[in-house]
Amino acid sequence: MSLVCAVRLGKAAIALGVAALAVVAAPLPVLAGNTNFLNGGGPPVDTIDMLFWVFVACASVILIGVGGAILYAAIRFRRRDPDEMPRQIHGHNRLELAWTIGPLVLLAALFVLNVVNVGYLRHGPSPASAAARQEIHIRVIGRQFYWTFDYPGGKSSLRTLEIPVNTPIELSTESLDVIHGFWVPNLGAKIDALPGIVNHAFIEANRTGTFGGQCYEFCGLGHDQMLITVKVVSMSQYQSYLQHLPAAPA
Amino acid sequence: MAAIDLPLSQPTSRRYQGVWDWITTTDHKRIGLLYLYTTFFFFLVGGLMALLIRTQLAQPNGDLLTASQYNQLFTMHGTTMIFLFVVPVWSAFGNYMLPLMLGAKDMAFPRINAFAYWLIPLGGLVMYSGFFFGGSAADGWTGYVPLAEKLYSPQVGQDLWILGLHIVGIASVMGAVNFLVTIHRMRAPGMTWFRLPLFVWAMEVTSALVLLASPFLAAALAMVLLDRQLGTNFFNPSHGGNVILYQLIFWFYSHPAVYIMILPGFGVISEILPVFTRKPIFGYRAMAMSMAAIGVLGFMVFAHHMFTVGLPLPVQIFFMAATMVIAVPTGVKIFNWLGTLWGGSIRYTAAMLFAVGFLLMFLIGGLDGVFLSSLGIDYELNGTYWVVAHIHYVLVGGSLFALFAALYYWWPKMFGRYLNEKLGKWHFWLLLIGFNLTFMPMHFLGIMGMPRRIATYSAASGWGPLNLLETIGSYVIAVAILIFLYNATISLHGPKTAVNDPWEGNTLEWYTTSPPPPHNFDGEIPEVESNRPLRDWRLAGKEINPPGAVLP
Repeated sequence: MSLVCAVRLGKAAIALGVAALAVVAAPLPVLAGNTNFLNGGGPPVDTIDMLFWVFVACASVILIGVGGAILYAAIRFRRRDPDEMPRQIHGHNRLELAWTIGPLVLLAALFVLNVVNVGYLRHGPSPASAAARQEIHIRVIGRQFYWTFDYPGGKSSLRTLEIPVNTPIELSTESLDVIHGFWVPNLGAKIDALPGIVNHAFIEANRTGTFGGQCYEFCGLGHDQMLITVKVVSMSQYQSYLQHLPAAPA
Repeated sequence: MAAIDLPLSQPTSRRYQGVWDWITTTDHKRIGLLYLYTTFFFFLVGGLMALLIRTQLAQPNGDLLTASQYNQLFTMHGTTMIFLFVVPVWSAFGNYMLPLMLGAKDMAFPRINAFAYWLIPLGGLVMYSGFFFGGSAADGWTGYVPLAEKLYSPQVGQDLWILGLHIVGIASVMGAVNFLVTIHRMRAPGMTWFRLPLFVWAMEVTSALVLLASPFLAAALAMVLLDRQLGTNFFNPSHGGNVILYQLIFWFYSHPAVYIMILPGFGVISEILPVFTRKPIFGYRAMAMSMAAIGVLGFMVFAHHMFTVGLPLPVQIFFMAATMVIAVPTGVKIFNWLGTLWGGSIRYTAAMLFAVGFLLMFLIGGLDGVFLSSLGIDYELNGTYWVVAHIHYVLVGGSLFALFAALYYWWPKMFGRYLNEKLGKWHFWLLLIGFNLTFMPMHFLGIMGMPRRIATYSAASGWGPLNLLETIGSYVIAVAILIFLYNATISLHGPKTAVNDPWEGNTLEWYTTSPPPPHNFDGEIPEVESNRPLRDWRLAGKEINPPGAVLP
């Protein structure tokens, strides 16, 4: 297999990959449910969705290109004559180099794309832009088998979290027993709720509505019942909601 | 200092009959078969557990199982498949084939070999015995703390699970030492490192990983056991313990363990492709070195299982980089296998079908894994069914397909009989279809936000239809396995017609009879001059098969 041949195959693979991407990817966002992160919901998830689609594009090209080449070879080079003896090719150093360096370059690009976004996903908007908006801190507490949410002003809610739209929400998560996992797919990165260690995470919604989520770290008999409902409302509705909430137990 | 009198007597050479013969055997081939029977039995048990799990999840609000039963089943399914099936099943082929491929008469330490084997059923028995004492372990195969602490998992089954894993771990380490010494000390004349069969290379790297990594699993489990039984507080935050510590130590073993489970499969595929394409493996040295690279890098990626634990960002970024880098030697392997197919003269036996199936399924398992290496994407997909899809594409699409390729390929050597090729092809196609029906939709469920390890889900989640599809797929897999069992049964009751070298093999195991005599080879082994000695000799006109041989 010559280099020229490999390059031509590569180009064909990219073309096929782009076509396949359209077919494979089209149904993904409409897969239903209010827990599908590809449906977006806020700036952090939009960032993750961007990363996901870039990975889907790259993976499709590789899957179609390499998988297609394997299938092609597997069909094209069947034995036709019981006595045939193919040319004994032991390897090709330049090809080895190409398929070592090529993926490395692609992965380096994907790595950089992640690194520039990951600080935002984990810690939220940089201090300057956060100061321009109002940031709200909410304490998330997991226990077997429900969640409670402590809002500013000593208010607390059970299982349902209500937040204002277009406002970065800083979460601190902890657990009172075993490890739980806080995850609302459409609003931001998931984070463990650990006993003895406080974790920080950040969510933000850019549209009002109800979003689902649940505990993603196996926590025992009631693991599947640790659901989370997030209601995203306007800032004024949020304020009045807070006023009607009972105070958090001491 | 007084001299110590060492007993110089030889081990007794008395031969027993029937069952006792098997129990007392130190012959690597018989031990290999014992490993095969035992691990395959565990595979069937783990498979039945999987069917129960899938039946429970077929529809929303499934009520076939209680949450307690479900948790025990998915825990024991994972534990069984990993520690009692995929890890030790490679010892079956390692034991049977490795000395033959090296031209050796046995393993370096035959009695340690037998001891290591007998620990496997014992370990399994100890783990399973929890079912009869108030319930087995139920905290997942990962056994995270503090859930696995006595306060949250009081059942003795959790302790038995730890003890069983300890026993199996000891067996792995003993086996690894045995493989390493055998590979280093007992090669045929002329068999240099770069003339080793790639399956031997795979066992070399795998054994090194087992030797270096297993103590960490033992340490993590021992700490949990001490916490549970002696009241230490390694993982009790209220007494200064740290729950993350367990995960760090556990994954320091359990990530390399993934390579322990797949590297021998790489070796098998690298043996089978050259035979059925009539070509040398493309890039032999790159294949050997990429396995070594995977072995080294395999120790540097473990924290990618912990991206949502809240580790400092620079640490997460390091592990993302290392995880992406390990995709490179893995990619090198796929490209070289493609290079081996290219321009070949491919003969589709059942073994070759499974090998090509492996290439395609493992490619998918590699690509969906790269998604998880991305921190941003992992923040969504961690802990979801995407991860379940990924591990099954690697361990079923990868390891299991390679295992069946190995079985069809080496069966004549091991049993002196052929498997039915037609049934083998039915087995392959049904497994391929059933496997993809079961595990491909899990990617979509992951995107739709379905967490792993939940005993049931509501209809409102919208996860029902895909789950039903998966359950149907799992039954197709069951049919495929039944076909294999039928094939194996009729083969073992058939006449012993297999010849020395039914496939035009390249390596020394085909240089002897099928099955080989107790001492493996009659006569001396000629000087090995390449990594395809048998082909060299065949082309030089040496008679390998007796005249009038029956080929499959």
